[in-house]
Amino acid sequence: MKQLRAWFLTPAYLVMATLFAAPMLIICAYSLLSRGPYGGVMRPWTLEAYTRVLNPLYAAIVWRSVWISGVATAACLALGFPLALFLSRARGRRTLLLNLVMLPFWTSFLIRTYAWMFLLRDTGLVNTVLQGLHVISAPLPLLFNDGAVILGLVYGYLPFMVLPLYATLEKQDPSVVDAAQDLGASPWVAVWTVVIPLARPGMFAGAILVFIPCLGSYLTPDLLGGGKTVMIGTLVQNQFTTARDWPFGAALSLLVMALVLVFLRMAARRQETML
Amino acid sequence: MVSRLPRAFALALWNPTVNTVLALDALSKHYPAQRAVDGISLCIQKGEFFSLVGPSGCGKTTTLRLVAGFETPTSGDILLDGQSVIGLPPYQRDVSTVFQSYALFPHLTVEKNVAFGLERRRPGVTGSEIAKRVQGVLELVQLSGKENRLPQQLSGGEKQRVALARSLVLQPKVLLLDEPLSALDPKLRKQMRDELKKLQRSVAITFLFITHDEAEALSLSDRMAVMHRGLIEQLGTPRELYSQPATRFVAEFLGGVNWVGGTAIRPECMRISAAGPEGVRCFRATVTSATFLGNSVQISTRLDNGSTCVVEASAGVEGFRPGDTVHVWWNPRDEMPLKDDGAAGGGVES
Repeated sequence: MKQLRAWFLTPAYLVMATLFAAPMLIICAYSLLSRGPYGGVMRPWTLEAYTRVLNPLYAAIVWRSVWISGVATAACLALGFPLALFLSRARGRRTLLLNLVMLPFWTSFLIRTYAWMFLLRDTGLVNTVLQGLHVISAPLPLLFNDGAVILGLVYGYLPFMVLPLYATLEKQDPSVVDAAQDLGASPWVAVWTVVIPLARPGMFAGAILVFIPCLGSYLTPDLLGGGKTVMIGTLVQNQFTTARDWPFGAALSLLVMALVLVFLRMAARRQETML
Repeated sequence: MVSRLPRAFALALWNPTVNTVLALDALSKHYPAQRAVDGISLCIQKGEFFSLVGPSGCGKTTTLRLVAGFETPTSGDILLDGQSVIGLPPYQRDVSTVFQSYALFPHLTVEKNVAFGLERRRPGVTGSEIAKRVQGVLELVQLSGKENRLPQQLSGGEKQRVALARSLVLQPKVLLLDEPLSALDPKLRKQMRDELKKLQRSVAITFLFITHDEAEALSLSDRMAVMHRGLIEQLGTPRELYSQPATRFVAEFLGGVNWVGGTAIRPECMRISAAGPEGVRCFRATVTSATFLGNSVQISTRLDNGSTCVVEASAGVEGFRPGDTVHVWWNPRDEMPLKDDGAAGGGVES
């Protein structure tokens, strides 16, 4: 029995070792080496990459990534909560509506992001229509700014907020909301005092699922931010390509991971104190 | 059936007085597939313990939800203290519900669960007064010392008490109870039943109690109504309904019924012995089975005319075995004034 167990676990251990542990070790090693003249790394061992992370120029980019991700997460929550509440209360069409939430996943994220570029650019659909209606005389600057990046992130990660929220809301006993109304709470007050507090685990799960990929996102800020809005992902990519500074890129990657772990830890702590 | 009598007679039953706290006037709730409530009228007096009893699907829970405001009636009126509450949302009606599932707020302590209604319904009541009233009602339901527990840390009976306290603390004009005892195990249920009755007497709040359990309704109610297919089959005191049922459905829903020679008689009103006294109400029978129930013996017999008859005798009665020839008889005074009209239809529980 025990032997069988070991056999079944072997593939998983192999996958974790070759695809997770080994790359992590390589990144750690790279971050402690010196940059090679044409990319790559060479000796001697040094902590120089880590000291550069503290440079105010890069700290600003890290901070920018955090607040853009935070705003995107908050927007996902604000948009996703009413949607999830509606889904959890829709009886007959629930399966259809849930499938619609997941429908965008059927198309490549890259293509969907390009679609936004076509909508938002100066000669795009939005500006063309508004100009055609004489609402505006010159095209609005919709693309290549922070707003466009946040829009793209919210669009891309909204389902990750809706699905865990839906899962917790759907489990709620509807008679609890009846009870709140019975005891004098208007529907709004009932949502505020009962539905939202009971949905907190789902809100945390959704926030984590949205915030983490936002923080490390590369495609959205690169395409919709037009290189002007630099987030950590873009910075890391630059180090491995044009800047040819692999140790610094590796150090930045580890920094993102450390940030994520800190946020996860904080979220876990919050949930423990709530229960 | 009573509810299908001419309108004039129905009105005679429906006579609101100064003591009436809740009146339903020809209240109906029709769904596309079903007439859940089909024009019921009744008046509940102040301080009364009134039960609506019937099999599942009879419309009793819909009636409660109509009174609480969770459903909108198709037609008819609901008067609370003489004022129509049609169109008022649940949070503006001075009634409160104890839900079947208790529906406690799982994220709030016992104390905050109970204070929830006071904080929203009674804006004049200040913080210290709220705390005082919460303490008072928790004492009443014997939950002092459990103020800071969360619902998940309570037993079924304790949750039940919190649900009661949460509604009682508001002192509503009518307390609506939706099968509040059905989630408890049988022993606890009987204990809570007694406590509920005591509680109702001490707080003097009108209770509208919904149940499918005829024993609960009979033992708790001042008056009760038996519902069947969205209609009130009969309304009266438990004693009246049990001993003078108006319809076969009521008779069979509230207890066992034997049909012997065209008359209806309760099993516990029947007598059994080896040699019966002479008389018209005495029948010769053969015992088919005898079941010892602790405080009584249930003896099934087949009469010589072929019909079956169940006798519930006191446990002290001499032992009868299957195959014994016996005589069954009864006092004509105990006969129920019922015709064997076969009107009971499906879904009879006995």
